[in-house]
Amino acid sequence: MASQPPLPTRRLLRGFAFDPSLATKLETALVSEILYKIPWEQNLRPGPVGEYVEVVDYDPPSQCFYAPVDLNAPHVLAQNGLQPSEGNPQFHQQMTYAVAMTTIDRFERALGRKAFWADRLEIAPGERPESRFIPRLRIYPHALRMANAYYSRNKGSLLFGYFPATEDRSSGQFPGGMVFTCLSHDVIAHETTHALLDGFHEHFMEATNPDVLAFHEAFADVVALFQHFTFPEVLRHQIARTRGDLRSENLLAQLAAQVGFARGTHGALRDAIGRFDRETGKWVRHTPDPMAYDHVKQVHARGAILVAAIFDAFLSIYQNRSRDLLRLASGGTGVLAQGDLHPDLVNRLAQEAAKAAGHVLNMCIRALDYCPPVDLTFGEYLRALITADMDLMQEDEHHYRVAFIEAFRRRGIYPRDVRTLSEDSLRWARPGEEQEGAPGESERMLAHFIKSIGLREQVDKLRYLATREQIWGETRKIRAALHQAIQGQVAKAELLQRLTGLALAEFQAPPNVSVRRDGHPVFTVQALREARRLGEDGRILNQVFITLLQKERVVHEGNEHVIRSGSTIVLDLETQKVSYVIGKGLNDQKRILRTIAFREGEDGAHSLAATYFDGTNEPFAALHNSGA
Amino acid sequence: MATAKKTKAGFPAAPAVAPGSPAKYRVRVRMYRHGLGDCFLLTFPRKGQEPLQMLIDCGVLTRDKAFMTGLVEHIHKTVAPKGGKARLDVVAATHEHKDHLSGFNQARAVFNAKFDFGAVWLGWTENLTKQEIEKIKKAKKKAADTLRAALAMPGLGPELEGVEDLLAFSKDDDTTGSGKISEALEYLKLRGTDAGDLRYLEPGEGPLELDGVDGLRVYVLGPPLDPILLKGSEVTEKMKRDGVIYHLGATGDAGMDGLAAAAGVGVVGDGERFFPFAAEHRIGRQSPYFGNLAGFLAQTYDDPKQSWRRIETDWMKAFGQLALDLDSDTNNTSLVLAFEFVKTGEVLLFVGDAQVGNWQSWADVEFKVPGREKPLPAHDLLNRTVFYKVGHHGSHNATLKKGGLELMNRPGLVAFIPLDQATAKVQGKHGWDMPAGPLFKALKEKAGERVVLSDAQEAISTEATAAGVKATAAYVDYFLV
Repeated sequence: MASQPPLPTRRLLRGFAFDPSLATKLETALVSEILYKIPWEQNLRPGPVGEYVEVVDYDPPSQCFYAPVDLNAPHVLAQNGLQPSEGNPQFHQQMTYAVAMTTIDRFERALGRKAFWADRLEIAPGERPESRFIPRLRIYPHALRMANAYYSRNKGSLLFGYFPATEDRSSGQFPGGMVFTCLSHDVIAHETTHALLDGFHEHFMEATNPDVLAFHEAFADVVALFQHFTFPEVLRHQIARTRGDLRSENLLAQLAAQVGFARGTHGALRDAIGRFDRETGKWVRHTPDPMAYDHVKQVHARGAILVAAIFDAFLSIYQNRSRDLLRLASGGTGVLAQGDLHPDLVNRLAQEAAKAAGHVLNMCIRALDYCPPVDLTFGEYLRALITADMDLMQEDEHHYRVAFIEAFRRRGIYPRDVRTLSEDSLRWARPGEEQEGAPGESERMLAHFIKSIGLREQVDKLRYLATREQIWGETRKIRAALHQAIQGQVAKAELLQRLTGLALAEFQAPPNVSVRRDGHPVFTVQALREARRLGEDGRILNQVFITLLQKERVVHEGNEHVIRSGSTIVLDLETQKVSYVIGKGLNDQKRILRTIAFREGEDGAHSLAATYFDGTNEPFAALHNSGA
Repeated sequence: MATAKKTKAGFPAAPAVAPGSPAKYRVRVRMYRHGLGDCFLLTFPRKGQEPLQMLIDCGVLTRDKAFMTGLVEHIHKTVAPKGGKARLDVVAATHEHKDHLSGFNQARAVFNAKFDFGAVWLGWTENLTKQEIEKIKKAKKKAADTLRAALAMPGLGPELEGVEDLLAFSKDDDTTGSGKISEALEYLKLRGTDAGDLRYLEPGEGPLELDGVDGLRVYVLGPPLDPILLKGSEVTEKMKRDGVIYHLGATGDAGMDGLAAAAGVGVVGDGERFFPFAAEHRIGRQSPYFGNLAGFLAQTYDDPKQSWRRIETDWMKAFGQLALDLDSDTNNTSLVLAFEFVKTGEVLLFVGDAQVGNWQSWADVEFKVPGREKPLPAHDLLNRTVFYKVGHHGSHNATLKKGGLELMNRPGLVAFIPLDQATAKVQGKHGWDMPAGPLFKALKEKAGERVVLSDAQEAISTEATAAGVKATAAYVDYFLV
């Protein structure tokens, strides 16, 4: 029908830019609210309950429910959602939905494919455990009476707490006033990212070295931080206030200001570039400590090193991109005259900052595809970042990669086993480069392997599926077929075995790897992901990422330890080549000993809970309580 | 939930002097083998008079009145072998926990009838005549009350498992005669006042001298001063970074009130202010408006297929955290004493149950020592430690590695752990991790086989014996000759 308007692509929802605290300060009141623009969900039900998330507002300590908001009600639709309000639970639901969807959308756009939540392993008595598809992450905006919020894999949920602000009057908060973690953009984005990352790499919650959990925290912070740069009003406001110098104190680099102040810490919960010095009462900038990475083990503090490195890289990129603007605005000197900046200059600087932030966040998210599936370290993440970017952007016009390498180097984050810190050595090694055998032999074998398993045809099946559930189901079938294909032919298995360091071929497994009755070693094709991305030169990068996982049992000082190994195999579907094999092989004695030493708490954090409660099945609950 | 195991057996008989004890020594440290708890008797021989006797703590987690009376009778026999009144020249109590103080209640009659006290030493944190300190104590009491009330709630979740056992440290318990732990402290204050020598000690204080014991100095390292009670300029960088030394004092009452209200206790007025939203928004299952929600909930929260996602008890984790805060706050008020033999530089270190925050604070503690130009840093004392009373029964956060154990570099270091493993094992859901594996390993790296448990089941190694350790069924002695 001609009179029928097309479906909207975006839904506009009002919300707090950071958290409610900005609204009560004269300086920031004007920019305290923003319009979140999220993908339009046609079948959004009250809750809101959409395709990705469902908000269920149950408050167990208060023993009550709060009625679900209907975002499709005409009165609500007509004014871009409910008006921001701390006293209206329906607005809280809207805020969590808006921020969670913004975060998911950001993730999907960077990766170019749908996001999935962690599967639920269902164990029915007497049957084999079975993975189930979880369509929606559940969000409980008022689940806890404490200054905490966390992602629970066991419940496929985000739980947010509320708490009265500290009675310390010097905190600048209304003493005893109620603070809601579910009204903080940063807390919601952080927790949603935990859930997204867990759906992506399910073994990144297994602490096998001091970096693994720290990475989880850091990554969640990075996503929350860079989303600040998508708020145009706040961005312009802060650029104007800092006169374009984002290295000075600014709201964009801070996380969860209200929660931090309300807990009596005199500062935002975290700050990527500085901190509040209580002695002088002033904010001071961090100086990068090249030794910090060696001795800081506490999860949040260690994560902060990575966040600071990434943010530092961003700031260098922003400075690079805006230097010409500053010269233009200053008659060529690059030194700005005193006083406020011209609004046009503010706008242009804001555009550059937003662009750079968007690029950096894209790089950070895309790097996940190039990470080993287990036992990640910061150094390996740097290699993943560099490799992913080199694949996509052959020319590094704005020196993004150099900025990253420099920022990591300044904080003493180096990958193990690379010869130099140049881009080329940081890029993951290509198979064949370091293999023995006749030239081109393994390349030919790999091309043959890709053809014989019909990878292109398999992946093509995923392309036109409509729902995430269908994609999930089809992917599972392909994974099973791949598993079959790998173990079906010894030659293929041997080749992959050599590349990945895993035991895949029949009757060749070392004794510490479980073997099935038919002689095949036990391994899993854990994941299969595809990516089609447009390179800067107009080339389409058409890739598939396959994750293989295997367990080995190691006896050390009389105790048995299960050590996970695994590989991410990056395949180029255009050229039918294996681009990289990124992984951790079996029998790596150094890694095994390091893992055991770490697990035994040699390097672990001090925790009283460990003495009394024997660990916890909600790792993020305990973690977030000490540092949110 | 595991309940405290009570042993009916009486206190084991043992001679006042262990067989094989040296005739001459500078100090004897006696660790009683009475269960999970601390009781240390230090004996310093003096020229021309009776030895000076100092008692540090007298408590146990799970023993009855008769058993502890037997223990105190044994102390009497040791101090006054000829009978009559026994004089304890100094009685020090490290912190307000049952496993350190219960004996002063359980064996009160013996302490009253058969002992004279010369002086009582407590940490500054016990000086309730100061208003700010009383405020912190009140916050702790409130936390404990809130927790007990929470444990009485219907529909307890697994989140509360282990909390009850954790509370045992501060539990007022009439069945074993240990009564109110706070009363044990009040009793000690009374005895100190009667003796005319009651001291509240602060870090940096000292060196103190023990009457008639030549060449010995006593230094006070902890409890650390509370940043909240200090002026801005006195708050060090370190305190800010480790701002969790006394957690409950810092967070204030409001959070606790909210939890208490949810547990249905201690609510003054209607409790309305603890709810996050006005009453009009709250729809309970009994509410007349609940019907409007039933359809939505049937597909979400109440859907039986998704019951694994329900969160009825997750919020109760807050109580577990509160219990941990409470425990570690009190442990951190531990009085920490170092005894230095001036001539040889040897140091005996008694840390109570000091946890990480307390240990870290020593990095800034210094002492003005007569005849020394620069102040003496506390870490210098750690460096010269030859005897270490391991904190908190060997749990892994009560002995700091860096800036703690790693500094103890004297060869021949002896470490005593007051710990009954059988008792620790039946606490909580999975048992308490005492001694913690990694710490035990680290201790052994420093002290070899000279790590001695009070556990009556543990044999004393030949290395320990060679280092001056003698044992009977009732105690283990360490001699510095």
